[in-house]
Amino acid sequence: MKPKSDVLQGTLDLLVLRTLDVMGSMHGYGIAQRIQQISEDVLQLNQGTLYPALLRLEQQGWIQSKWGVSENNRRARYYSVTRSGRKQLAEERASWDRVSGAIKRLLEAGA
Amino acid sequence: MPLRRFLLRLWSQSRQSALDRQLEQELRFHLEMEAETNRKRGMNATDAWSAAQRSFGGTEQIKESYRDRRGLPMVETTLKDLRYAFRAIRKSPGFTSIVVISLALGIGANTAVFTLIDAVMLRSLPVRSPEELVSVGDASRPTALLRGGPMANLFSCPLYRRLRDENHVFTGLLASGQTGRLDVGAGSDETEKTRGRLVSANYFQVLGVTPIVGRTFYPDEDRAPGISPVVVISFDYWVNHFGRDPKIPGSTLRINGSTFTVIGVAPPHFSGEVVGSPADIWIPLSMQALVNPGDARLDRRDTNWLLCIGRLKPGVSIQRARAETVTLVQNALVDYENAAGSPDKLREIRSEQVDIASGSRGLSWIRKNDSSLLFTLMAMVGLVLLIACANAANLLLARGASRQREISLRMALGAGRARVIRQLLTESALLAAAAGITGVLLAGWGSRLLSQLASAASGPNPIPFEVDVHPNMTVLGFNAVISVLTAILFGLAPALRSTRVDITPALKENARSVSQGRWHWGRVLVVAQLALCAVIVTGAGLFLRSMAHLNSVDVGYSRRNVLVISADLAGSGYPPSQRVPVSRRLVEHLRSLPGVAGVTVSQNGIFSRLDSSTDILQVEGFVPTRKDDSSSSFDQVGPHYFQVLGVPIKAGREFDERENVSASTPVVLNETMARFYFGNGDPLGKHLLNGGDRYTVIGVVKDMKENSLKSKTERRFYGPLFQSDDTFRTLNFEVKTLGAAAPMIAAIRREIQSFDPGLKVSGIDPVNILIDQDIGGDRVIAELSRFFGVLVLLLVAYGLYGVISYTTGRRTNEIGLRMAIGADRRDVMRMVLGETMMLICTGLAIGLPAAMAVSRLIASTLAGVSPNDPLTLAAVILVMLAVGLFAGVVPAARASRIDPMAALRE
Repeated sequence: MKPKSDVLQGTLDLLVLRTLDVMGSMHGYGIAQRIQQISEDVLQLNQGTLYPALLRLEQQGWIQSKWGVSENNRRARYYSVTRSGRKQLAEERASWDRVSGAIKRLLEAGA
Repeated sequence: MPLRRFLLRLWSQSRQSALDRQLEQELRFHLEMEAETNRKRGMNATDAWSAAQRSFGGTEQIKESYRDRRGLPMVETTLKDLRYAFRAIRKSPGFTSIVVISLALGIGANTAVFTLIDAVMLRSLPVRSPEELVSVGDASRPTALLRGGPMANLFSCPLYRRLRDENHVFTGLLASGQTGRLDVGAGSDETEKTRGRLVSANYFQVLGVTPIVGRTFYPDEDRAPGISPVVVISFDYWVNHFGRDPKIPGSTLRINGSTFTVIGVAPPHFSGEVVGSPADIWIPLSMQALVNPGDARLDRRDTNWLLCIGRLKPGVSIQRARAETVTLVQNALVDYENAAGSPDKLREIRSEQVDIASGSRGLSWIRKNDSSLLFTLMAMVGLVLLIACANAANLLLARGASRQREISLRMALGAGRARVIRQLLTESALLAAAAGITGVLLAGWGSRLLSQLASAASGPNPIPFEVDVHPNMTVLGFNAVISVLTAILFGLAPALRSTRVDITPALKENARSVSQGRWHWGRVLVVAQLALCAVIVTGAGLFLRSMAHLNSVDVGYSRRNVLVISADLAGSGYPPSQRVPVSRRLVEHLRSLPGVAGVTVSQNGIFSRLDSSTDILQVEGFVPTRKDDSSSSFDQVGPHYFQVLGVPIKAGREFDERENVSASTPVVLNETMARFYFGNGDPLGKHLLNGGDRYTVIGVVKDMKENSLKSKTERRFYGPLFQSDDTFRTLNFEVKTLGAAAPMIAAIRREIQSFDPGLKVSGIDPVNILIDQDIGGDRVIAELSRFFGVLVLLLVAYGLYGVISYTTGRRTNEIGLRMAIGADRRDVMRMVLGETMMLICTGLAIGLPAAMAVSRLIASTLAGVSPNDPLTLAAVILVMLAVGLFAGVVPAARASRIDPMAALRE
């Protein structure tokens, strides 16, 4: 069964990978908070959808997880990006740049 | 899906609950963190928690989608479906066992017949790269032995050696031929027949078969005649006769009076190149004269008995091999003519063809002979399976109808239609799988039984039908495929049908209210079953009628009390000049035996599969107009031949002890021949010319069937055997007994022993058994079609009963109403039976024309009955109506006993 992919889902992957790349190891709640903070609440994340996405990324081998203790001393699952995750991030970033650059040019060309 | 991800998911699948707990924990952590943040922003505890939940979204959906992603939903739901299906099936053991048994019979029969088809027609020889092998010569005659002149499609030794040495297309060319009867060991054990092949020394090398013990032949072991008394034995022979003795090389075997040394054992599974006739012993060609004393064939160009298999050189096509082989064979035949050949003869040789075909499946007599039998069987069991499928579909449909509320409930609770269909198909698949596995077991037994029947069916020199019927991957694959097809065939329609519901009315519906539409499908299936059943029963009827005809056909002589002894005079060491005198003495000797009414002798005899014919006959006063007009078959017979057999003499006389052959040979004609050449005129005293031989007609006898019950009687004449100068290699002695023939066999065998212990007798058989063997194939078909006919009738009767009792059951209200407004019991019975008969008549209306079309296809295998035989068709109609009555009467009676008041109140 092929996972359904849509633009949003692809974007979420990129955001998660980038967040983990910058922040190192984080738990799911932290990732959600961070994405909303950085995007200044432009990206309204339906927080629940984050977890299936994390599972998918882990199944792809792009991130890994282990259980740890949170800042308030609770058991939490921490995610971090793997080496192949970084490669994937670079690729997705390049393709995002390409696509968004193209769209931008198209909009500015004023045709 | 990449393997890694698949394995991860599979692994997750297996530790479902632990992972669920982890997810639970992770989500709870998230919600609590969020709630805490909210609290810090000043919300009270309750608001903080619900706000956290709002921004998170539905936890249950998230969990579900997480689970779907984590595990393998296919596997998960399939496991669920299977568990559910097991429970559903266990709940109705009666239904389950009927479906499984009927499908298992269908699948088993198909697998059994396919096993034989695979073994005879599809399977490759267990040798190295069988696809490179090419059979050279008529591959359907591996045991032929034809004398009289060089031939193109069956080879003599000199011709084989020439082909082997002069061709440029094969890396190796082997030859093999029949051994005739083999007496191995002490020779006292007559019940066991050892089978061997005389083979070229390169046999094992060309096939690429390496021995598991010892060695195979050296290349020079067929160079000089008679100096290499060595044999290779088969694995089975090694196991059965030598108990797997690893020190077997060097042991000796006595074969036909000569001592041979065993040098090696062939690997298991390899039983030679002749499919259907496994070999126990392989003997080098050079030893042929020792195996067949008095019949040295190695240098004879006029004795054709070898077939070849070549291994193509890399890059050589079968076309090139054919072209070169044909040229080589034609050149050889031209050389054999020694320049003496007439231009006509040479032209004829240049038009000779040689059969060259793929040799990967070896040589086989039965492949050609029994393929029509196998395909008829395959078609028959295919129909049986279809009927079993229709039956199962009907039962499922009925069950689907009674499970309507359950299904509606599941759909109302949110199960998608596809999901429910999958659930129902899983149940069908489970049933089909059980049937398929039972079918494999049935097939193992069935294919052994079939091959035994087919062996028994072959002639007096039994042509074995021994094939490896162990299920292999092809057979198991076939079984799996038909099981799956079966599941789809019988499961899909009911699944689609019973899930196509409008939920609300179905839930509200009283289970007993009138619902006609639902049974539309059931009726279609029953009619289809009835139609197919009519086809099978018609076929069975025709085969049985044909069999009855063959059993009662007038053969022209007494079937009951005549025994035929076939003796191998040449093989017993009698020189040609001694053969007639010894036959005379044996006839006298046997005649003195108590219980014997008469003894005579013939060259070809009755149902021996031997025959002689001429096509250069000139008849006094007859002008041939077609080439065929000069042909006739003939036999040479001893004194009182016709009297002993019980054949009436229509005119003149038959041979006695002393016939004068000096001026012209006396001959007796059969009636067909007398009528053909002389019409109503008197044939007695007329002259015939057969090449250089001059004949005078001394008598006419009634026609008789001597070689085949099915073919029509040919023109035939008889000459006096005792006065012939032919060198008879084998002769048949006919013994007329006073009582039943079979009990005399032992006494006659003893008598022959006392006459000459060295006389080789290849068979003492009552004539009726020889005749039975001739029609063995027909008997197999007749018996099996009777078996399947009855089976199918039972299935159909059951299916019909199911449908009728189900529909009447659901119409209880309606019937009660009818009875309440004045219908009496008889009316109700008539109504239910009438509906049953309508189904039967519809089935017949479709089935009978189909049956007539199909029976035209089997017309050639029928004897004495036309494919549209009215009696058979009438019988089919009667049987089907009887089935209808049988299936309908119980539900009809039940319906007539309905209490109107109770039914209406319900």
